[in-house]
Amino acid sequence: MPTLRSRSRPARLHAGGLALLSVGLLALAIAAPRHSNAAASANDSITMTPSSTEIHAPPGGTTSGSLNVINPGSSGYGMSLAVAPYRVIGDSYDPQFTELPGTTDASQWLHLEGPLTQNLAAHTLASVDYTLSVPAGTAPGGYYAVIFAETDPPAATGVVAHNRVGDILYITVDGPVKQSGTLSAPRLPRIVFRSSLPISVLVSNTGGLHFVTMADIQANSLSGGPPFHASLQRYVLPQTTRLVSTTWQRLPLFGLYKVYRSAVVAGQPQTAPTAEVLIIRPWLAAILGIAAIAALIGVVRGIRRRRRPQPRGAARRTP
Amino acid sequence: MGLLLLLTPLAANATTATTTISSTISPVISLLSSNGTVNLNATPTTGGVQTIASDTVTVSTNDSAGYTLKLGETSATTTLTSGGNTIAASSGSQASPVAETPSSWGYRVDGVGGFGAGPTSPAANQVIASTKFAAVPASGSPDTLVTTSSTASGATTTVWYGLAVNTAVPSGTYSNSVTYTATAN
Repeated sequence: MPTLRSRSRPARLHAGGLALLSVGLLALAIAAPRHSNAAASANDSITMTPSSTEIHAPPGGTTSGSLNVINPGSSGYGMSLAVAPYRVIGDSYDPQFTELPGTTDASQWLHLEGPLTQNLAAHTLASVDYTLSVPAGTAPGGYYAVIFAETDPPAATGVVAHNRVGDILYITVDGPVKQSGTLSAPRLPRIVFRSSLPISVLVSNTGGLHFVTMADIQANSLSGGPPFHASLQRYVLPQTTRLVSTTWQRLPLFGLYKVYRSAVVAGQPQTAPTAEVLIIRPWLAAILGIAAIAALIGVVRGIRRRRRPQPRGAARRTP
Repeated sequence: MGLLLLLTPLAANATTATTTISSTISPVISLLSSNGTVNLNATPTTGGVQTIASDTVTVSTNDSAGYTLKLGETSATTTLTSGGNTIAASSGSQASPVAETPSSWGYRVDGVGGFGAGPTSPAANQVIASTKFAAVPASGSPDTLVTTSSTASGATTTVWYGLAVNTAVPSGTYSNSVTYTATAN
């Protein structure tokens, strides 16, 4: 039975997310009646939910889903819908909305129900239904597409801005598929002079289906300083490597730390080698360096004094 | 009877129930541009003048992986068009932007690609400055303006548009459509 569900990255909803949802709910609560004509707007705001969806169907099967497009602004506008392929480039995962030659364009499996253009009045929501029809004989695995909703402002003089948001579809075609991956950890500097430190892991998907990796980055002090911890969840598409990165802000002035990096990759926990990092601010390093040089000079002078020959008179006085 | 007394506490415990509360929060993404239309009005001179104006793009998302914001043309046309007259897109790219020359237009985002730190300031009919601009790429290959790695609430990006013209450019009302695209990471 084909099913569809919104992606739910487990977990922690940040305060910003709560605020955003509150605003969205408020906008929906005060929804005004639709206007027959969309007015030109100086600032067309467009919201889409969900912004990513997991969906699956067997080869030759069909499933359906829906998304919501919200106009939280104070004036209506024209809105258009479209589908496009979805892929990424590089380990920074720069999204691309064009088909890679030689690959399957899963956006062609999508059919949007209802009109592709419509007026979206202020403070209203448009529910968009779609159907996914997977061609028979499609190989099991992961396929990707995006559904866009875009403001369609009237023609005007100057540079006219269209605002577009997308719902990324992570499509699984059911069937046996290899799921595997590897974890590696980019090298960290042994000595850090800055006030922040980017720490990352590289997660490679060597299988045929996307997975959500859960990366865990910890730094524990060997010198009694405050620890650092970050948990990150990211999609990793098949045959790609994704850089999963966080930044340790406000580093301590000084400390020796052990950095532990691990991740659940294709369902299997993997651990990267531990790294040791010495954190020290430049000015503190300068002070310590000057102090060390001063101490060294003192020691050298002391040694020279001891080696200097004693005056003859002093020798005579010696019994 | 004694057996019943012993069983009583057990019967009370049996009424205890566990309720699991679960909640799925849907990922949401929102995009807003402040101006809708950026006006680049200019009164040309023989030597050329430059007008610079900005648009502010605001993105919010509760996706913990953050968002990517891209800019591209709405269509394959990269020129400012007024009937049969056109003003060409800048010859620069995001990686290698260039100073504008008369009869060209482009965009820049301070601190992104090869644009330099800025800050860029608005201007009207000023002498063409050395500020670097790039062409807004065609719809199929939009430029990435911002990529983030955490939730965002009202994160803003200022996009500057610049136009340089001289008296060789026919008068008229020129226009072009660009598309800002925000997707979750």
